[in-house]
Amino acid sequence: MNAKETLIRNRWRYISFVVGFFLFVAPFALFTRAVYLIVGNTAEPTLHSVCFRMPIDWIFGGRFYSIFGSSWFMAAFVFGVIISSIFLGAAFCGWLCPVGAVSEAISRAVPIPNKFRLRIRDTKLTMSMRYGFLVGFIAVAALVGYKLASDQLGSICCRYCASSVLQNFASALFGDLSAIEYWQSGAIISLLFWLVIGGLFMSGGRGWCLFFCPLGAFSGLAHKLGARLGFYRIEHKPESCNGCNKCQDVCPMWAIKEDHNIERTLCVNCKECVHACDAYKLIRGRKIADS
Amino acid sequence: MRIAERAKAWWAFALAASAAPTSYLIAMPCGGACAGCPMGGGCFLAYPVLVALAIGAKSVRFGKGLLRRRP
Repeated sequence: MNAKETLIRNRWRYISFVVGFFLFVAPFALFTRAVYLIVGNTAEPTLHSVCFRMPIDWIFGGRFYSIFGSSWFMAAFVFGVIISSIFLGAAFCGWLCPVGAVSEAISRAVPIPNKFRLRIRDTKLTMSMRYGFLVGFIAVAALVGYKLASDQLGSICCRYCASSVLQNFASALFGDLSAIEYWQSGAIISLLFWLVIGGLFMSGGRGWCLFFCPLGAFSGLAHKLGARLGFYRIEHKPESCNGCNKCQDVCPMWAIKEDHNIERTLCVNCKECVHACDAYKLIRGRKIADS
Repeated sequence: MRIAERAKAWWAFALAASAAPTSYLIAMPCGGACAGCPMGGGCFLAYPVLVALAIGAKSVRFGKGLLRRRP
């Protein structure tokens, strides 16, 4: 499929990604500004004001008081995203998150032959790595939070965070040149993995989302729970499948199993499989909905 | 076969789970000097990235070709 077809097929998702960028990334950060206006906070909002990982760090590090502190809206946002994934799938990841959007866009825009792009066909292996990294992230949060290790993670946490890289890149682009000071090697390695290795050289361009995003990993688990409870999900109909494997090629999250069923923990609700093949149907509740 | 696949998945899980704590241990002697170091936390990410690439590369054709010993 060529770039024009991809653009037309995903037009609503791409428009949504642009909206997501303006909602969360400073100097715009319209969502954060709206929240600040309501709660009377006069601080200058950034993407970090609604950090995607810190509330998870607080929970597993035993810092429960932070959830109810001055940054309560940050926790409310992160847990809201996870809880909404039960009912809507990981829609934030697939439709709004600016971090995943940028790497996916770069992957689509740069035509590199697929044989040079990494794609793990075994969803169990992908899932094992994703949740392995999540467990490691939680372990470090717990070690630091419960004072079993020195508290150095906090000072460097943002240096390997793709959201921070995006934030500083956007700030520098839109006028705040002091953001350039941020560019140390930690940020450069983040940039390399997020956009070059994870974006250009991983099929679908979502290497960062697959392996290093704790919010995405928890949203995936919530989606799996929601699908089991009968909420929003995409189902594969084997009777309509001709085994062409096109679904596996188009899925940016490598979520299609060998038997063409969907691994829910990886699915971000992008509906590429639904567009590519009639064997996939969107299901809300017990009804089969139009795609 | 299923046991082998399961073992592979568990091995990948264990390796990935150990990546962040291991890199934390590696970075530990530096203490709180991270912000002053020109590496700026790069050491912390480099190891998990290498683990991800090593596991991933072994499971794709192109990576297998690179890793295979050539005559």
